[in-house]
Amino acid sequence: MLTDLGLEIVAISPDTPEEVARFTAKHDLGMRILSDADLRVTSRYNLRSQKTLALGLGRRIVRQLAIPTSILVDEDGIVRWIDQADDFRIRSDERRVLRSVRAMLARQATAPAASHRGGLRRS
Amino acid sequence: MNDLGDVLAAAALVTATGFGVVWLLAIRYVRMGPWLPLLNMLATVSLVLGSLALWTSETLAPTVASLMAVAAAAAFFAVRLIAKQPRRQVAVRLGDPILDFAAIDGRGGVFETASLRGLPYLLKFFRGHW
Repeated sequence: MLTDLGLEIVAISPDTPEEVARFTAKHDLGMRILSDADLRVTSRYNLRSQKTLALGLGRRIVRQLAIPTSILVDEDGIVRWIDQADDFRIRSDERRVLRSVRAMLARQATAPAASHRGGLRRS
Repeated sequence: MNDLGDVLAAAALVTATGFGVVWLLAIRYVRMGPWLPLLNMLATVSLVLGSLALWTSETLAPTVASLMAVAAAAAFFAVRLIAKQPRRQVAVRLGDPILDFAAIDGRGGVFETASLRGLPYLLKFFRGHW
């Protein structure tokens, strides 16, 4: 999977910082998880979605959610790939993604001076 | 005693139980995608077996079993229909610069995406817990 390539993954969800902290404490997914409880970032990316659960008797719960989306960003901060499927279900797409990611990581490895930007290091 | 009805009802209930377990596992592990073909198949089989069993059942137990199988399958299809994720044009397109932002991480600190410049990364928007 992508994490095996050493690709940094930044996850973000509408959960509160407390919910994220609880989740992070329980699971080690090898990815950084960010909280976007007020959906400021989600809205900025135009990914805000709303789910309404009708409880009956006129009562309902409205929960703000994000449309699951993956965005691959290269070392220059440019968007290289966007996916809104729930999962990498379509195998050919996954292979294509892995190929571009491998190519990007290889480029970074062979030209460290070119891609090095003012003191950045892998964590 | 209707042997065919009883067998069908039993088969329907077993299938529905198996499908229910798979569905719960899929929900638990969030990524429904890979499970969907299996879930669709199991739900369809439950629906068909359950309907046949309902048709041929003559006593209470097989009737109840087949009703449960049909109800479980119907509930699954209903949830899938209303749970369709909307797609929307993301605010950035291929070739655009990413929209940098700052957000709170699991340790309470502030993380800035700008700090990742020089490294490729995957930005994953998760749905959030319902």
